[in-house]
Amino acid sequence: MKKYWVDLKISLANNLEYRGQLFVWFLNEFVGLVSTIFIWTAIFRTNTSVGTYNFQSIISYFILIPLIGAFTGVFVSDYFPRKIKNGEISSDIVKPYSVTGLIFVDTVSVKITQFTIKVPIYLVAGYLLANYFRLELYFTHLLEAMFVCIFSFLLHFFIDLAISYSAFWFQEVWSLGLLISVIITVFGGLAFPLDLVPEGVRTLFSFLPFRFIFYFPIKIAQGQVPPEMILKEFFQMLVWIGVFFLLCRLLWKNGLKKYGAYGN
Amino acid sequence: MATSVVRHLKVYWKLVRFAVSLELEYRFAYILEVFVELAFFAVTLMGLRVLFWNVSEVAGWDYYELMVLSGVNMVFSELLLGTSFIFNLRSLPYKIVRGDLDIILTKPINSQFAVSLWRPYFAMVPSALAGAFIAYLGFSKGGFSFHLANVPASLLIFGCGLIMAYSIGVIVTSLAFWFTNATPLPMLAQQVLFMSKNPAAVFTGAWRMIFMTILPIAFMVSFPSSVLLGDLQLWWLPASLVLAVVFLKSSNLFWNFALKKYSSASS
Repeated sequence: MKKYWVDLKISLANNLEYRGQLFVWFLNEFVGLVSTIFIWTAIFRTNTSVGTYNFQSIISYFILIPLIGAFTGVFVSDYFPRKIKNGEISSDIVKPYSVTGLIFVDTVSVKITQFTIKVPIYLVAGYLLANYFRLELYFTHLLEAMFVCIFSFLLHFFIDLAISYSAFWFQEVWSLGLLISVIITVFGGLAFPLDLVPEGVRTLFSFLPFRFIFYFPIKIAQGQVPPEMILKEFFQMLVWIGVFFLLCRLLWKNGLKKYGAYGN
Repeated sequence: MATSVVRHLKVYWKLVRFAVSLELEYRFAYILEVFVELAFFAVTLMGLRVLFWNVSEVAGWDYYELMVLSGVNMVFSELLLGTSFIFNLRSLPYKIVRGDLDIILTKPINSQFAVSLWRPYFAMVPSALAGAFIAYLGFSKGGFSFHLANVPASLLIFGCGLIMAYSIGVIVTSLAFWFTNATPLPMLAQQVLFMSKNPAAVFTGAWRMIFMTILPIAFMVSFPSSVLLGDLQLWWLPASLVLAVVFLKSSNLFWNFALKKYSSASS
């Protein structure tokens, strides 16, 4: 464990060196949020409700996205497929640690950096916006959501890792990360709340694991999921984590056999 | 001035040909890129469909009008991203950190041109065409009457909007000269410019004024779409021309000012 602890400390130091980057990412998300608020404000000028949402609940849904994203966001597929393609993992493979473990530690270090810099900013911005729009958000629901977010993070991590490991078989890799982000945008509830779609489509969405990354924690934070449902969905999420964990192991094991260590 | 423009156009043509040969080398990659680009816009259209399952209008725009707007937005963002962002402005912060600008600055061409327009991204072509098709689909399904005279006016505002967006992109990304390793700055510029996907009617009060002058995103997608749909306000034409010139000149001034902050990192 000591070697992973050392890696975590190094990774944390690296991440904290570029605090400005995190601030720009925050601005980026904030501009996106402002754009969304503009459009929904315009929609509610002529509508009193949209689906089961009123103005306050739709705004709180979108305000919660960046906050939940700070917990559940994973970006392994942004860089790791390139490392495989360029043969840069050769030095990691021969070292006495698990590459998956190392990626996990590095991702956790990014999360810790985000908690220390992004989350406080989000909480202040979220509080001000919640006050401005008179949103009803309760601390207990937020705590429940944060607990679930730990597992949402794990699920997202293993999905992203599986996508990254598929780079052993594909020549082109940078599109893979984009592809998974498109999938999560739609099926994870980033583009629109999933309960705005008709019943038939919603059933299809409920068979997929992506709703656990954003939609499910957001609905818990909004206090819109009954406790028995949380438990049921939570177990389903654990199953999906198990599935993707096993898939990652399988892809890594077989991928290494395909690995050509180009450039080395 | 005219000679310089012609020379840069000739250089650009050569760069385009070079980029085409690069794309042809990695055909599977190209197909995947096109697929991803189309998927992004499928998401937008799906969002629109989901919205209109629940409402009948947004800021006075109905489903088919917004479909035209989404199509125009698709063409706009693909042209903007493909020509100046994906392979060009997005890599500027890395070039600054690694000192890769040295080689560009020694070339006998405008450095802003070299940094922002060097390599086009061809996956934009099919998705831009798909955008044009979606706009056409929205237009025909919505039963709007077509006026040929509106096309040049719409294209003029659209072109000026592209120049404004490009200029804003250059200005925001150039801030990387002041911030160390500011790799997300181009994404921030994109995010700001993507606010143009909303109809201008969404912005009210002081915001409307801001989005027509200081950050003229209303001229990028909303106004050209409105013109296509038959709503042309004549003042948009001179205003878009003036704004395009002002923003392009400002971006060049800002670029030259920002360059003074550059200290080659590698040598």
